[in-house]
Amino acid sequence: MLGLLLAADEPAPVLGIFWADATVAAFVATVLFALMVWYLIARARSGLKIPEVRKLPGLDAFDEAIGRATEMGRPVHYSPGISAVSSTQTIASFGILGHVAKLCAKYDTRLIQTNADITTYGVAEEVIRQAYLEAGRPDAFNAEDVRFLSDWQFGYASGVLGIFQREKPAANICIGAFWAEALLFMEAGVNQGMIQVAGTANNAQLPFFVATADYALIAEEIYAASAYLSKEPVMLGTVVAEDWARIIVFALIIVGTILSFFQQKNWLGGILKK
Amino acid sequence: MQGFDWGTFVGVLFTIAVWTYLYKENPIWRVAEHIYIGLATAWSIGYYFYSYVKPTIMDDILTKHNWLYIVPVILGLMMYLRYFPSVAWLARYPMSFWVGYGAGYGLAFSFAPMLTWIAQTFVKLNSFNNIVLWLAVVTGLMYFFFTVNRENAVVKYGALVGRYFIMVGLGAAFGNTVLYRYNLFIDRARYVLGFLHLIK
Repeated sequence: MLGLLLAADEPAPVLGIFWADATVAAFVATVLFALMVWYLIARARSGLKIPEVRKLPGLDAFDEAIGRATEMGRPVHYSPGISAVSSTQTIASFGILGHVAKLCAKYDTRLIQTNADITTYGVAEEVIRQAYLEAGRPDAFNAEDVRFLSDWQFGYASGVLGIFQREKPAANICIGAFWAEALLFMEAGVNQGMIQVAGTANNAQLPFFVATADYALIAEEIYAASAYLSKEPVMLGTVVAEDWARIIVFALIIVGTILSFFQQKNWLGGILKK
Repeated sequence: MQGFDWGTFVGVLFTIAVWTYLYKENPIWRVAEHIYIGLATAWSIGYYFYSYVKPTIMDDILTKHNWLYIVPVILGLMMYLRYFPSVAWLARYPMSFWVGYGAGYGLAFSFAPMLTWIAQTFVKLNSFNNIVLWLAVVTGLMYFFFTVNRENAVVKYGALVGRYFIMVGLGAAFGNTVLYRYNLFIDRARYVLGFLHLIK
């Protein structure tokens, strides 16, 4: 990477057989990141020390929300968003769902989990069943409370609003990839006096979560929260690798800005910019 | 009733039925909700069958003999094994494949645009706009440091400033989206009022 950077020169940076342009830089960055993820997951799996993910302030909110629902004797609603199971946000959501389901099993609180995608429906059922098993309450798991409503965005939204009205959950947890349905859920939750915890990495919907939820996880925080709560080595390793990548990006921005100050044409920018 | 626009009539009826939710949950809303979910699910089943299942099996496999297409068909069928307890574990394989595909695809195509964004922050700090842009990016990044000790003063105050920048950004996005929602509402209101001949 360093060789490529040093060799770069506008307009066609070349080093021996390497063509140091944006495509090569993206390829190198991808490989570097994949290696960091692999290394950190391997360390986490073998029980070796990796940097700790700090506890986010909003994480206690899950306990608080489920505690409130338990006190009121009303259910908890959980939505993983409307993306398929292949979305990284949905994958992160399942880590949090496992934690929420375990708490619900422990406090004997009903958990209603709704889905807008058939692939998340299957995985969610597995995650919740496993959580109840780990909490020592497999008998309390009710498959009827894991529901597929509709894969139409607003069909799903109207189904969730109906559940809010009829089954009156005391807590609403929405973590994952949300679009226009986000505000519908949150507004209905506020009207019902629910305690709400929400998080997404979809920038257009984040403002609604921040404005209406009692606790909001902002963008990357959902991945960190999932790793922190699940203690899953794969997730922990990935989040730490992402953090290292962020530090590298931070350093690149500092170096790039200094170079821009001294040079008319920034060679580093020339490599990175497509 | 010849020439009467039944399609728009039903659309208006259901729009008003859904709007009754604004008052409170009621039987009219409930009828609209259940019909909507039922229709949506039925439409999806038909759509997926005629757009994916039938063309894949009838055209790609049986007519064009693209035998590789059998693999996704088998993976799809395996998802139903969760209903058979003795082999339910096999349903995890297509799910794992799907999760792996998602993570891999995300990783492969994230870096190229990201590097361009990084390069766009290499600005000369000689104007107010450039300074604000640069500060917002750098401090915003610091807000998302999860393994760096927050007791470090630079990181602590950098993250705090980043938090304010993020809130300003979210506020702007909030206003933008609310405006868009008003547009949607106005469009729907015109649809209803136009049908009732209350506006031209």
